[in-house]
Amino acid sequence: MREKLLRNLARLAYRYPWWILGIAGIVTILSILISQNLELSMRWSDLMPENDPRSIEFNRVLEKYKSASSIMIVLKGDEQHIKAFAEEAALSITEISASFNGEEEELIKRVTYKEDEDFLRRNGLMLTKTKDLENSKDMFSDVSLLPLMTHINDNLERTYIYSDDEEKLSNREKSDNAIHYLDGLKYWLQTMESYTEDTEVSRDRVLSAADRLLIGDLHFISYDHSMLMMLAQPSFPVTDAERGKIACDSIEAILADVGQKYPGVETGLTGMLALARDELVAVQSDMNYLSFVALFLILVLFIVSFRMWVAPLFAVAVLIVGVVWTMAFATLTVGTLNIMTAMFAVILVGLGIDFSVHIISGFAENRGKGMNILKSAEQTLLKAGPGITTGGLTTGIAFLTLMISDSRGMHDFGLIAGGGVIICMVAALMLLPPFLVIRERRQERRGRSTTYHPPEFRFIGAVAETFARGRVVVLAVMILLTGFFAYHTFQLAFDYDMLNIEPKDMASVIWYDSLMAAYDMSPDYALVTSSSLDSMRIIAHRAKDFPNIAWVDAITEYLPTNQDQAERGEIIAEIRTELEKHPTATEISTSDLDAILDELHRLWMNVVEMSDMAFQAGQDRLEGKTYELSANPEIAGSPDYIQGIIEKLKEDPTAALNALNRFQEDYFIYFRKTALGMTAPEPISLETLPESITSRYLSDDGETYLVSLFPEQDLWNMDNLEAFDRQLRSISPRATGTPPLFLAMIEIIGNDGKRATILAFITILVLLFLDFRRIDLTLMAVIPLVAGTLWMAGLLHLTGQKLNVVNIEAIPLILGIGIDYGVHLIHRFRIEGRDRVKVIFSSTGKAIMLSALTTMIGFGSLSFMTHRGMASMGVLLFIGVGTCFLTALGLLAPVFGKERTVNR
Amino acid sequence: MRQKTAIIFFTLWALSPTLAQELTGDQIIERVDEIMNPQQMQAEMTMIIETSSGELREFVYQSYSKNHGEKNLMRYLKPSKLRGNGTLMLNYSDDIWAYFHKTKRVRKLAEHAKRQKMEGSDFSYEDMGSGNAFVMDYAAERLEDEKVEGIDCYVVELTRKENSDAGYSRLIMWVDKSNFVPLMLDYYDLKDAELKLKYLTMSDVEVIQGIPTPKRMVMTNTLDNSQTMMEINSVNYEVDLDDNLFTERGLRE
Repeated sequence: MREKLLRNLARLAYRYPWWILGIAGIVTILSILISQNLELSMRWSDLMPENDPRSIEFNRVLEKYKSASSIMIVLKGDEQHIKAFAEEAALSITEISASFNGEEEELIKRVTYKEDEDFLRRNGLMLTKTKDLENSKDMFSDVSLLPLMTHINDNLERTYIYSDDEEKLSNREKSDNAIHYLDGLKYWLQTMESYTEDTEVSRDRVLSAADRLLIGDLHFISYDHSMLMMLAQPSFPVTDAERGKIACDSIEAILADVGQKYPGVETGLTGMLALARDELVAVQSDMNYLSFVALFLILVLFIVSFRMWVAPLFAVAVLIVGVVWTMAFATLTVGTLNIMTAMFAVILVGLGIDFSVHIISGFAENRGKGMNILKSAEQTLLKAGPGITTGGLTTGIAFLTLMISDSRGMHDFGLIAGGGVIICMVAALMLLPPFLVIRERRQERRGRSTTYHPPEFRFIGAVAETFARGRVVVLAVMILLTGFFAYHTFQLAFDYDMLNIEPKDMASVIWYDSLMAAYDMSPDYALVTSSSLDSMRIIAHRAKDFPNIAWVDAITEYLPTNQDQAERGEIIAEIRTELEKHPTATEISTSDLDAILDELHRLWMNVVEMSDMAFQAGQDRLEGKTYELSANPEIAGSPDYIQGIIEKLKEDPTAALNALNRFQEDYFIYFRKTALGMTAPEPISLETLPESITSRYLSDDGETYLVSLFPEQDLWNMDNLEAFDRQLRSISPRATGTPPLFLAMIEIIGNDGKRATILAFITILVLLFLDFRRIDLTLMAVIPLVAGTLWMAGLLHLTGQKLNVVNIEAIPLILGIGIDYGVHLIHRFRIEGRDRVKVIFSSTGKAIMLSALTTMIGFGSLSFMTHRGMASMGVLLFIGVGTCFLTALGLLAPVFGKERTVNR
Repeated sequence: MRQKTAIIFFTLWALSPTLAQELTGDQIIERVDEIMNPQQMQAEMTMIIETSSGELREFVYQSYSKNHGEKNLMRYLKPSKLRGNGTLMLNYSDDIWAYFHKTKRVRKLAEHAKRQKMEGSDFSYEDMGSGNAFVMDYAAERLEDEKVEGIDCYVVELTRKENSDAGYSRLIMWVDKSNFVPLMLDYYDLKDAELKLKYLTMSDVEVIQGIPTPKRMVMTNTLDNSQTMMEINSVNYEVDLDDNLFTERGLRE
């Protein structure tokens, strides 16, 4: 059956070469047109199974809440400059638009870089927790300097020092509140101190000091005030890679433009969209040039091996046709390439060329023996065809078995690579003979004859013969080596650090790290949705219980319960009454100065105690902040800011009195007015919340709410990721987001890898048995494959590498590829019979060596990818192809010499 | 002398295999309670915590305990930043005071502070000084015996009693059959009884003055992977501690 088919294929190629090539040309043009719709996505979530509930929930959330996939813009530099930069850039960024299908479309819905100032100026007190409000209400009774200082101390002691809540400092949220409070206090004291100097103090500085003490810094600024984060909320879903790229590019252009005014400010993008864009750009450009590099190197290898250039060009042309057809196949079946399938073209370049190697090699041999064109074509397909079809189908079907995988990444890879190998095989069998026939006829018409120089890797035959002679020693060495590599295979570890597979030095990854260091939390966050505010409150409250959740970003932070509002309303009313009682500042007298000095000393004691508590609690950030106000006892000569002010005021009491009165005069009216502004709040409801707040938390249809949970620790670390996931499960079983998805993906792909390897191996065994119909020959083909795979994994461990979620697919892949060498050698062995090891390896051996070299070039070129996951896969496959070839040579050559039971 | 006799008698009783096999969960926990909460104790301890930036920080303090853990006092010896600071825990940690040496001020913590983390460690005040809480706050149920690193252990599940103010929904304890030292202890979240918060391992058990004493304790927080290690540098069970030591004045001295 197969023989008849191959013979007919050769005859068709001889009789109708132009027809075949014409039809193929039309199919290729159609394929190119279809392939225009093939998309590329580098989102990790695209690797997840489509029906996985976590994946479904993630995509649902991203679809419903555009705010869940904001582009993070990072500004780094001087505090005043980055704030001014943000102000200026924000406006331009919200105006970014692009034309799609002739219609102009806005791409950025909103840019947020600070809290809603108007809302907080009206409702700052209402949003303060009842207990904290109770603690701080005295601060507003009289805002003259002495009572204010006294009440600031009272508030500090009630809230942080003598608080009945020990977790005031050990909980992240509370520690952060303390840091912000100390920040405001420091700014206030610095402003006060500047009045004791000769320089003029600007009004803006005084107003700013009052604001910082009353409301705090509204900007999304880092602890050290050197980094500011802006969030650009896209108006398109995060799945839209095209719009994502345009939006990121446009933002970068604006940042570069505004940056000219602020040369000291560094800028960058990170977050889901920016990471995906950067990966897309890196992978796309790598793929394009590496495919060409691989093709070029293979062409050079062919030209050098065959010492001719026309046939290799045919082979490359046929390969390109195969890849184009596969692209159309991928467009029609999956539509989008992902992290795992993006490299299919380079893989096919390495694999698909093998079919042509065998055909050209056979054709060259036959023409060299003086056969005519038809006979050569027939004999080529009859001799090399069974090996090609068995090898191609075995490889293709082995890949196709990956389709049983749960993960979409592995499933799609199986489909595209499996389909692609078979398509390339069909292209080679159908198109290469017509090319060769046309070429030969043209030469004959011109009265020339083509001189074929089949590649002569004579040393392979010689080596194989040597191996056959010393079979006992060789087999013993091979077995020992296999045992050695097998031992190392079991030492091979899995790298769970996802950062190690991201492209190296990618800007968005570098900014990701900077952001994490500056804000002490991971920019990757979990998402929980809820249909009611009550359940949202429960979720937010529960999340705050957990130690490594750094920030719970929920609408409930802006929307106290009615009961809370009622309780706080009463306290706020008291504050208003007290404020109204003291409309003017009380002049500071000499005795007041002493009292102020006492309060400053008390403030110093409070800060020192906070410092000790922070030190005991291991809260480094807060401890560091306290040293900005008091001395660090661990550093000799460390300045003590508050004691310094005390000394300065004591030096010249008259000047101090004058300075403090001027300070009080300047801040009093504004401070009181601002405080009064916060004492007449309207009841806060969902309806009265400004859109700048609701749009961050409400779904686009306005029916459900989103809470984002930011972990404190680096989630690229597997232990941290697992710990965070455990907490999420306890907060809500429906929690989704990049972190839980990552974890699920690692688990699913790990399982897929194991399952696919077993299934691919079983498939190979079955297919080989169906082909050879003999167990001994099947085992002879499989044993070198198993040994080669063990050598590959062992070498991986010995070279200090690890498996990861991308290169794990190389294992079933190498089974599909590595089997070819055994298959071709055993097919030839069946024809040649025993004691013909030199002939077998000189002929088929050289073809499989050339085939191995081309495959290694294809895969090896992947190792130059900037995407380290893909590069590691390239390295693994490069080693694997080489080891499978070596084990086929080392294990089969001795056996072929010994074999006596097979018919000639 | 009476105390010594009591300890010897108790140890012999505890080591009796015939009796031990018949023990119920409550009986096992009572013996654990006796071992872990001696009448009086003075010890120098080292505690190592992990700070928020991932660095290890070492504290050395003197610890005093009286009335089977009802009264506890800790006084920092190292590092120099904290030298002289102290913590007083009375009524099985229901009342807690902290003293700051540099400012000479004492602060009182709230009653519920006992559930909170102690000094940034993975131990809570409750873990450190709640004395007979295993007996008072939890109902014990004996589970099937298991081995921990080759040592035969009783396994007891402690479930929080209603109206108790214990900070955990349940505990699972692996108790060395030979000396009633708990070798491992799992702590479960108060709100989610399936969520394991942390686990304690005790090792390097030495019999000191007749009392089996685990000299090394490691608390591992399963939520954030942090660890706190505590080691007993020296211990003396045969001290006579004055009640005045366990007062605000004693805390300041």
